[in-house]
Amino acid sequence: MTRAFKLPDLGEGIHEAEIVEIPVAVGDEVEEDQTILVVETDKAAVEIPSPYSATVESVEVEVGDLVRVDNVMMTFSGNGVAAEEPEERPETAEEERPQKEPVETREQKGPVPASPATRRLARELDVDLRQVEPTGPAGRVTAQDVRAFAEGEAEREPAPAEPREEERERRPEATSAVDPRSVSLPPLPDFERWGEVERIELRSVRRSIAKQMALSWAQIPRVSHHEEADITELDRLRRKYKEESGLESLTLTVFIIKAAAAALRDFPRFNASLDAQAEEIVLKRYYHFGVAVDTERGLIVPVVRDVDCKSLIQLSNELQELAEQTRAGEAALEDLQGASFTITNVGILGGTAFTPIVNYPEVAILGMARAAWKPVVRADESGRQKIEPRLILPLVLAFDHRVADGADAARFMRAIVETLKDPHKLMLTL
Amino acid sequence: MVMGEQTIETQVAVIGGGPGGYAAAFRAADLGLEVTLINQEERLGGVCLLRGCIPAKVFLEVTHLLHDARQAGDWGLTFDEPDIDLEGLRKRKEKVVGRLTKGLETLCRQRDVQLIRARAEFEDAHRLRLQGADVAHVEFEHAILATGSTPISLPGVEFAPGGRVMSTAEALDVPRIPETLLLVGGGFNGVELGSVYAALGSRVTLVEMTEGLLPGVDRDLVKPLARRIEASYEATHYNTRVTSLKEHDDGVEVTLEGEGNTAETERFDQVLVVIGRRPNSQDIGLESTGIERDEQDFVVVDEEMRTAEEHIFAVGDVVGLPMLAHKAIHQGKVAAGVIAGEPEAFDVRCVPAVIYTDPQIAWCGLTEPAAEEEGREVEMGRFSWGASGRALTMGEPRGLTKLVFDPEMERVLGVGIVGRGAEDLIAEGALAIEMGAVAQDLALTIHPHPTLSETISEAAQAFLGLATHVLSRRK
Amino acid sequence: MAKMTMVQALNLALHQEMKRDEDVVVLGEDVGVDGGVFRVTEGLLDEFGERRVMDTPLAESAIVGASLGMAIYGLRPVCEIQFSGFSYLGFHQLESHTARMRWRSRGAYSAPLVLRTPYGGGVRALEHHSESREAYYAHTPGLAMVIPSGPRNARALLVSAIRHPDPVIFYEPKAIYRAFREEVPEEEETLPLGKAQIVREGGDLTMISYGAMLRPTLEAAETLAEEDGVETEVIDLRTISPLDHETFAQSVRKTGRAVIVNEAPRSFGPAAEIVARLVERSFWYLEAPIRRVTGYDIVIPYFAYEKTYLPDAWRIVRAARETLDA
Repeated sequence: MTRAFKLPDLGEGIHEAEIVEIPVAVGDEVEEDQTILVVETDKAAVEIPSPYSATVESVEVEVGDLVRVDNVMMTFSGNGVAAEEPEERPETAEEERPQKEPVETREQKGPVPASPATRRLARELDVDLRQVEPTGPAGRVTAQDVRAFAEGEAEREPAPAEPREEERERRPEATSAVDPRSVSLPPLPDFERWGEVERIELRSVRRSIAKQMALSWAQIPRVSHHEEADITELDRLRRKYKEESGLESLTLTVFIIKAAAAALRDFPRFNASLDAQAEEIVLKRYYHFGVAVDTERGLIVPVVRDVDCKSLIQLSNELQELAEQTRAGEAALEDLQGASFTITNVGILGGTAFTPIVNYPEVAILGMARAAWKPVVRADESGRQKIEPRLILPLVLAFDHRVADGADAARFMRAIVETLKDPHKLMLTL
Repeated sequence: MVMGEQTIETQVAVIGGGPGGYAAAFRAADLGLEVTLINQEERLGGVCLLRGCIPAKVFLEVTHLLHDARQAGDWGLTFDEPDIDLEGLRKRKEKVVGRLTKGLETLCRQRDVQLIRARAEFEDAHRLRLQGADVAHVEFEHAILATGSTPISLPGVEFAPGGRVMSTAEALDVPRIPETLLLVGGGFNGVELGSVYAALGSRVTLVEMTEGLLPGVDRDLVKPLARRIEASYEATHYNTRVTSLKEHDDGVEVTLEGEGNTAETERFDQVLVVIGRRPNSQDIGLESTGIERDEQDFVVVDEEMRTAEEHIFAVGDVVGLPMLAHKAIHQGKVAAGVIAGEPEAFDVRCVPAVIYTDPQIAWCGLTEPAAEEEGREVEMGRFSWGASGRALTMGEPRGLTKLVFDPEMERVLGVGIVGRGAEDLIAEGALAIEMGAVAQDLALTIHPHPTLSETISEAAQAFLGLATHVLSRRK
Repeated sequence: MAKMTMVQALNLALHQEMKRDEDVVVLGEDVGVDGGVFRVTEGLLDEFGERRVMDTPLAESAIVGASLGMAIYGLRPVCEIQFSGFSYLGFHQLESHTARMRWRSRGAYSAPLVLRTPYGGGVRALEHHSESREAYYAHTPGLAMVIPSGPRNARALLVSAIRHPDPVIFYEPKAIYRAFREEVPEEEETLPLGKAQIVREGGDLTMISYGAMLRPTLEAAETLAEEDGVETEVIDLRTISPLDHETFAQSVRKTGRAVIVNEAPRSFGPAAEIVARLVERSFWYLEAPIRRVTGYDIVIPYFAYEKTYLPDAWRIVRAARETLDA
């Protein structure tokens, strides 16, 4: 009475994960819901609970293994386990999709009852008749059964990445060496010719960032629009609130979030996605902001939901909590999905300007550099020009030019900047 | 050709113009391939058309006609003993054969199949060497081997046209009606030809190695025929072999040795040897390719009719039993289809076989004796023709339709029929087996009354306990 | 349309022309009763009778001479020389008389005869049965020299040759007499003499060939496209004399590079003449020296070395690559 436990589906688009911890051992008695495995996906660490109370019979994986959904992780035995046929060994990421169990028909021996035309169809569609559930009279496999089976197969997990050669071949032939679509990536030189090198494998968060950036870079014609916001008044206000309320978490970012959310109501194009297949812009009526958090493992972007509906205090607390969780590696998977717009703030660390990469499949990202005191030319009441020290926050909007134009970006950023310049305007939008 | 060696390049080279070969060539051409058909003989059609199935049927028709005419006296119609004009018979055979083989040539032309009369040998896996034609070589992308089979003779004995020892080929020329004929081999073709000669007036003696006629065939089906044979032959010897044979000017001296009996020597006017056929896989250069043969010299092929050389296929008699023209035709089409990229395969559930004697025997699928040997549980549905109205109107009460069923799903596994018209009736059986039909399908399909085809439905009904014209005990 | 070999296509042309015009007659060794050693004249004797299909004695000078006489008197003889290697015995009749008849008589007489003969190597034959000497005829003013490359154009060119008012030497590449089949229409079809055909278009390189060499040239073009990404323009000359230099000169002006393929010996062969004309007409457009892939200046060897002698796709590709890399 052994039951095998397979890696469950972890969420949209997640096919594989790395085993980071196995808190149980062979022979251990586990309770239902007890954590038996910890895996790390592209985005976060996930704890996997036991589906039953039983004894661990065998552990089929090791820390560090890269496993796929539906691979066998371990087997259990015991009263809480229903009898089942033993499953196959776990497969590594290199193998093809898992095998199907043959469907049992009533006549196990002898050929499968099917007319010659049906048999030919099966050959044409590359279907093994023995695996098809027969629905014809007297256990016959009909042509319809064969077709249904073939379609069902197509819906299963696609085969793992075919070698890049096939994708390359699909690209139009580029005969010029300076054509960016040029097919072949030249091999890297042997760097050791010039000195010592160290190789670090791309794993986990770093790897998923690399994939995401490659995707975004290839897909989005990005334009960066830089602006400067005079936040002298705003910052004064912020510090005052912070002191009065004791809210340590009331950061500049929170105000930017609010300003941006307000502006997005008037410029919905920047809160959208582009469906290239259907050639449609998907405008989102919700406002979930990804807020980039720098962690030890790399840049992770947890998502704050419905920022337009939350108060400054709520946002501050939530943001702080999220950031802490993210840094601790405890952010749940859902917390990393579903953003409609992203804010990234490197200002804390420094920088006068930068050009962020749009977080695909969004179409815009707002970057904040370091706010600094600068001499600014201002006109006083009598119209005379003076130079004053003002606190200037450099902002940048990187956006997908397929969806919006420079003029739109300019107006959008103007709106934000105006709101930030005069905190009373910001109040009006809350 | 005066000088030099001409070469033809072709997409599909078909070697052999018999049923397997021409079916393959025509199908390939219809699928858009460029085909060259190389035939060793003067005319197309192979053994089947030229000196096998077709001529045999011409004479068998005559045989049945003679039998019916002689019987008709019982019905109130008396004929005089007919004059048998052998030349006339031969002319008729020639006419039928000639018409069919011309038809094949026309089909070649219409389909743009390049027809070359030559003997072909493999020079290597991509080239044939031809003898006897203007062209010396054929270079092919794909090839289909359909060279057929040749009758086996007794050791040391040769078949020669005009000689006293004949194979089916010579026998079908009917050079004369021998006074006495020894038929060596009681299998399909032997029995057919024996009955022809018996009807034409020869005194036929049968010698068969096994214990009865038609070894391997269900005894229930053989019995009615055996009775007729015993009646029309002069003598039948079972469990007997020929241990010596000597041809003289005035006859053939043959020694027969039966199990437990002493050897007997007899003299016969002519001897017809029908003890089997061997595949024509020798002397065609297969050693220069990677093509494999088994211990009986059949060319080894897979379900797609491919040999060990991926681009060379083989079909028909040369790949194995049963040696039947319709098997060759179907395989030829499979091979052609596979070459053209179609998802074909030789995955038939049954190959029907027919013996064209009177009564005829036909069967397909699993037979009762085969099931017994396998240890497989089956149940029978039988209908004896004594209960068939139509059979009685034909004067054919001795017939039987027998269906073999899988007891659990009631699926039709085999069909066996003995009686006139079995050759056509069996086709329904083949279809039923291929479709995976169950007893109900046959029982509930209306078969016209009164016909012989009804016997099939009634046999199924008998199995289910629903039969009308017989008592059935089931359920 | 039916698929036929070159032999069958030529046979069709002869049947149809002889039916259409009573003056067309056929003569040569073994052409009547035997139907020709390659069967090109099969069935003609049965259909048209002895007066129009004549088996001659073994005497090429007589064959050509008699044909000339018939032609002057108004017939349209199609004579066959069994192998091109035997034609030299009739060369005097061709050079000294047939080619000059119109010129000599100031147009009063002409000699509309066709001399058909199988030529070229690739069939492992003995001496005299594999050579290519088209240059001899091309160099003789007054003779047209035509060489088909496949069943369909062979038929159409033969019909045109028979209808041509002046003598035509019709060289038939015996290596491809039966090698492959093409759809040839039953209805009458002609092709103009003196016109080359671009059988494959391309912008990087021009390859010029004819006869049995056209197929390895096309094969080479395919290889160049697949492996080198080079698009070759291939020209089938079809008539050696008069040469359609406009077609190939224009092509080379477009591509800037040329490779010429003929199986005849290298020196003083057709390729040499083509190079000369290209220099005259397309010099300023050349990017690289023109290359020739030809037979060697020796008697064509027996079958052990025949394949080495004859240009094949590999040699042509190599020459093309040299031209492209220059």
